[in-house]
Order: sequence, then C-alpha cells, then structure tokens
Amino acid sequence: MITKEIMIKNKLGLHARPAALFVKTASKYISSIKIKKNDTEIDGKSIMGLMMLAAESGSKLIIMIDGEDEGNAMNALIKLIEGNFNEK
Amino acid sequence: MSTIPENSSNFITVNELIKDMADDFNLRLIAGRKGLSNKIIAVNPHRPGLAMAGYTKYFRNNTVQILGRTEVSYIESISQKKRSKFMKNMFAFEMPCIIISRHIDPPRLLKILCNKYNVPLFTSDGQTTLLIHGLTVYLNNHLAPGITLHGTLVDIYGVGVLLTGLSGIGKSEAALDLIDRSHRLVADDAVKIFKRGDHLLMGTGIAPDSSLQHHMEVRGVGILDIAKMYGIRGVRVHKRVEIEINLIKWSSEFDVDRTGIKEKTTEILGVEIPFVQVALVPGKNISVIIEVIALNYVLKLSGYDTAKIFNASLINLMKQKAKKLARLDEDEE
Repeated sequence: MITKEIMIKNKLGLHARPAALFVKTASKYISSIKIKKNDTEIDGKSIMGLMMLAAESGSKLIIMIDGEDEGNAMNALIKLIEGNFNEK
Repeated sequence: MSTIPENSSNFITVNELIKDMADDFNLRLIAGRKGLSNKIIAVNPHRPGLAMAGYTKYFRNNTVQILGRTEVSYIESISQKKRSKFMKNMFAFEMPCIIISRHIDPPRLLKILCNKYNVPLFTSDGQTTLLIHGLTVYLNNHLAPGITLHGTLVDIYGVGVLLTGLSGIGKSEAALDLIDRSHRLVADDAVKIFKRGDHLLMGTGIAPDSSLQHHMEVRGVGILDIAKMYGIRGVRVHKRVEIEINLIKWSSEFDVDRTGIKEKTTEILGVEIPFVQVALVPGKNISVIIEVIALNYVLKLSGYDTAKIFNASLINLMKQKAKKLARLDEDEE
C-alpha cells in the first residue's frame, strides 16, 4: 500500500475530461486505487465518484494504491496530475 | 464487503453549530467570543446541574451545555460563596459552549467565567426541552459516524438495497435496469452512509450539491441525468440501507447458496445487515433476482421466512410418511 498527497493544479479542476483521463489510466492497473478528499474516499477507477469530489484547482487529494503494480500506477497518475492532464 | 474508510472529522465547531441553528432558536452570543472555534464532540447536549453540584463522574463536558430555568433560578437562590463554588466545579472542565434557554438573563458570574475560560455563552428563546430536542437531532445528523462506500444504492419496493462489487462488474447497469422498472436511485458509484442511533444506516450520495446527485455513468454511453430522464419518481435523496447485494463474477469455486436458510450478514459501521452474493452469468436477468431478494426480505420482515417454512413442511411430510411406513410394517407382521 502506497499513499501520496498531491495538489490539483489545472485551471478548471477535476472536471469531466481530466476525470475521464484519470479513470482510464487508473483502470489499466490491477491494484486497488482509492482517492480521498477531506473525509470522502472514492474508487479511483470510477468517474462519477471522482467528479463528485469536485476537486477544484488548488485542492489536495490523497491517492492510496494497493496491489502488485502499485508503484507503476502511482507514477502514471502523478505524472498525469503534474502534467495538468495535458491541458494547454 | 467493500473497504471501510473511517470518517475522520467527528466534531463540529461552535461556530458551525451557531450558523445553522441561530435562526431556529434565536441564539444570541453573550460572552466568550474567543471560544467560537471550540469543538463539539458528543452527540447529545448535556444539562450540567449535577456537575455544578460537584458530582462530575458522568459530566459530558465535550458537548453543548444547556442551562434552563431550573439551573439558573437555583444558582440565583444560593449564597455568593456557594455560587462561586458551583461555577468552579463546572469550569474545572473544558466545555465547547453553554446555551441558556428562554432568554433568561445569565448570572453575572457565569458571564465573567465564560469570558475568562473562552466558553461561548448564548441565550436562546427556545424552551429547554425543545432546545435539547433540536440540538440532539442536529448533532446526531452532523456527528453520526459515517463512511463512503463504493457501490450503488437503490430503493426497491421500499427496501434500501446497496449494490457492491468490483469496478466494471455492472452495478450501474443493474441499477439502470432497476430504475427502468420503476425503482428509485439514491446514489450511484459512491454512497455516503451514516449511522443513526444503534441500528439504523442511512445512505445518500456524496455530491457536494444536489445538482450533481442522481447522475450515473454507463460505460460506453457516458454521463446520464437520471432525475431528468425518469423524473422525480426515479430518484430519492436518501434511504435507509437494509441489504447489501454483492455482485461477483461467477466461478466454479464460488460456493452458491442453494436454500437461503442460513442468512449471511455483513457489518457496516457496526450494524449488521443481510448480505447476499449474486454471481453474474451471461444471460441471467440480474434485475429480477435483485427484486426478488428485496421482496423476500420484506416477506421475512413480515414474519414469513420462505426457506425455513418450506423446509419445516418438508421435514413434517417426511415424518408422516415414515410413520405410515412404520405402521404398514407392523401390519405385515
């Protein structure tokens, strides 16, 4: 189980497109992926939950990954968030 | 069972409480302004009469303290020396805030001590019992232990059914089919569950705003607005969670329950509810099975346990047959 806190920095926050990208990436891995914002924890592989977090720009998420490919999954997700979901 | 993340913030501040309750009970801040960020932890308000008298063994000091006409008029009737001792007993403990009912003028010493120890002191126009009742409901709603589970909550014939299972197993698709059959969606994907009292679980969506609740993602289709598509009868805001139905992929090793005599249960926030595992097989009509589980639950609640009653009849029948055979044997002799 690995855990990492990360800040959302893209302008509009986790809206439909970045959320879809996130979920698509997360679904490539077999590890269980949970995302926590404040008290609410959701499944990182399902888009509705992720969007319901309404994670605005500047908010912090905790990513918790547990499974054989947890390292790779974490790297891929962090890369995605830090790259602002390829937003220009 | 899905994972159970703990709800970490089991307190609210005096400020939050006052913001929500000030209008209902006409609360006015009299003293102790510096303590507005104090934390309220316990769910029931407390009347500190006995604590003031010196019996502090069961003093619930971590919640709102209510002083009514009884306490205040008693404080005013006693000598100054006794009064300060009374106050000392109570203020030896940290308290989030004190509310005096019926807009009774607080004793001067109380105001001084509230300022000294940063305990906000309010007056309210409510009757003591109504005030306690209102606060209890409010605090229970805000401080009840809660968790967020990955699943879909649907009201089926009035039974709150929580569908769980791995991502992509088909919870949303099952729910969609159920809504199409006139059942009602409470929340899809992530369900927030609160414990009310000792035995009741209430479920709702995690949406931060009602405009976002009752949406659903169906793979290949995208985001759907269920309330818009099916109207108000297709949705509801919250529902008691009564059964968990866990959807799993069928495998030959899966130990299928063939009679339903032994009821399996699962625990959510320490409350036990029936737990049914349904293995998915291509071509199986999952909605009908889920409906039947809900209906059978209602039957059981009404006192009719089909599996047990069927088995009892079967055993009875076999006993009679055995008797008959035994008598025939005797005749032959």
